[in-house]
Amino acid sequence: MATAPATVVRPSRPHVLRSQDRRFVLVLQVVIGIVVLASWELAIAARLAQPLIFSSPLRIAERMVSMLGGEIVYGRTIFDHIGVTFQQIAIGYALGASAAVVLGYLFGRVRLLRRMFEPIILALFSIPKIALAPLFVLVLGIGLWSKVGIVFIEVFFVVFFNTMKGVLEVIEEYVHIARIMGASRWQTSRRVIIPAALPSILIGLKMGVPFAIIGAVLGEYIASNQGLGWFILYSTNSFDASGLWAGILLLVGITWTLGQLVNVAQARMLRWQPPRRGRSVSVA
Amino acid sequence: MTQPVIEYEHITKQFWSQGSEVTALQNVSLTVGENEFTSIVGPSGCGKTTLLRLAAGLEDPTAGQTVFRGVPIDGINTRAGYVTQDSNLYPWMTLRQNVEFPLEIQGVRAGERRDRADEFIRMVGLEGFENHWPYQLSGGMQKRGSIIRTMVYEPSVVLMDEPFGPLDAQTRMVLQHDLLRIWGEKRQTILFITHDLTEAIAMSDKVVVMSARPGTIKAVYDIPISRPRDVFQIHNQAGFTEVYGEIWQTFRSEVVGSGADTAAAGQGGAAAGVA
Repeated sequence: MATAPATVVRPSRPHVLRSQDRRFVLVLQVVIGIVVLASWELAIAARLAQPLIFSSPLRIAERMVSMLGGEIVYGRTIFDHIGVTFQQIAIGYALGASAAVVLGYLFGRVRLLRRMFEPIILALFSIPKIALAPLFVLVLGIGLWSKVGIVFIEVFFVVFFNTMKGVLEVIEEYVHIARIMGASRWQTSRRVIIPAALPSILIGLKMGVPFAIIGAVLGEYIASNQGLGWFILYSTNSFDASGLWAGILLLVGITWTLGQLVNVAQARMLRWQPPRRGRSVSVA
Repeated sequence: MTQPVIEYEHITKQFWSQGSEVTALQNVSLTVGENEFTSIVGPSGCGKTTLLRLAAGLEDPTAGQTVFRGVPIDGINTRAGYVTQDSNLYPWMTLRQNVEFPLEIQGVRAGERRDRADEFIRMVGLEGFENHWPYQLSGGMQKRGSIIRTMVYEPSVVLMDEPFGPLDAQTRMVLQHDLLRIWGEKRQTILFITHDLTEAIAMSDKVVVMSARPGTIKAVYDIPISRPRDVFQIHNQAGFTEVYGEIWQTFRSEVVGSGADTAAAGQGGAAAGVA
């Protein structure tokens, strides 16, 4: 008996972009980028806008090349400026994140501590850091340490709350199982609670990176005579639009690099997690 | 009755839930004997999990005391093993690391740890999966992992809270079989919670029937079915039908009375009727 010919049905894969699609998207992104930059350049060339205020892609590129070549800008090379800012970020982040993880862990485990101090910490958190920054300058001076202080405070809260949340959300049965097997408090902390809380802690650490950079730049705006943030501000005040943009690009580059470092650490430490469907979402 | 291992003495346990007092257990006294496989069955909410948690030291009674090998329990009881309802394998450890974990806690050398863990992994047919993450294992495999994680350090008493609850019927029978095989070799004292009367009878030397909340002991039955037991065909083993019928009579009023669906009651009646 004859049967009707079967139609071939292509299985649909709704959540995975075909590689053709991915390449297409990439090409599209590049094209849009070029179009935007080209329009900008042309608009400036046609004097539709002031080069002094807006600059243009070619001018910025030229400026960037000369700065990276070691040009002295306002007394130092750009690398000195970057170094200063980076130092503030690194020290402030290290101190802030360490304190936050330790305290976040303690607050997560000790209910009394939470009851007593969490309202205070929340209250402090709600004060805009911009308002606190001059206080740091007053107390710690206009040098390195006031910036470190501001970075510290920016990083601390986000890492603290994420750490505490991670510790609080550890499944109680995980802890029970270990304790019944005879694990000491220390063994339980090290082998159960911390690994279980690690995903949240890492999210906090990743979110802390852009906050740290904002803190450093903020500190330099308020009271400094060097550093990338200061350079951006000074460029603005000098109507040096190219310098301004170059500075911003460098800042974006640093932010991205540091974020990637945390991403790598995260991927290494969280191999045990089931992979998310499709592309993973990374926090800026 | 063999040597008493766990003795519940006039246990009453009350919780405060949403503003009102809930009595989970009311004057419960029970003795669990050494080397015996004892099951506790009862309707939902009858307090059987609470009894297990009391033996593990995770709860304190409101009145009465739990005695473990002659010593009243005070705080977490590390002398008994505890298998939770969910597998709860640590997601950040591989299967092997999970199974080795209690041995590591107890300071066993790495080489010996691996040998003992691998022995149990092989025993339940999980060889080849030692380096898998828990998320890569099926529910039944995780369940096996969870059980051998407790068995590997050979506690003389094992408390199990509806360990096969969330599994499908076939997997459940296979794991019942695995558990009985492990138990056959080591003969620990096992206190096993289940809502499934057939499972309780198939596995145990004794079945304790609890009433609906507030939980009390309605009856304790000896299971005279000879070992080894064939869990896959337990209905056909000599003595099963009689003892099931007998226990079901006691059990049904608690189950039906607490609002269980009529299908359960019908099932019980039909099983009792099948020769």
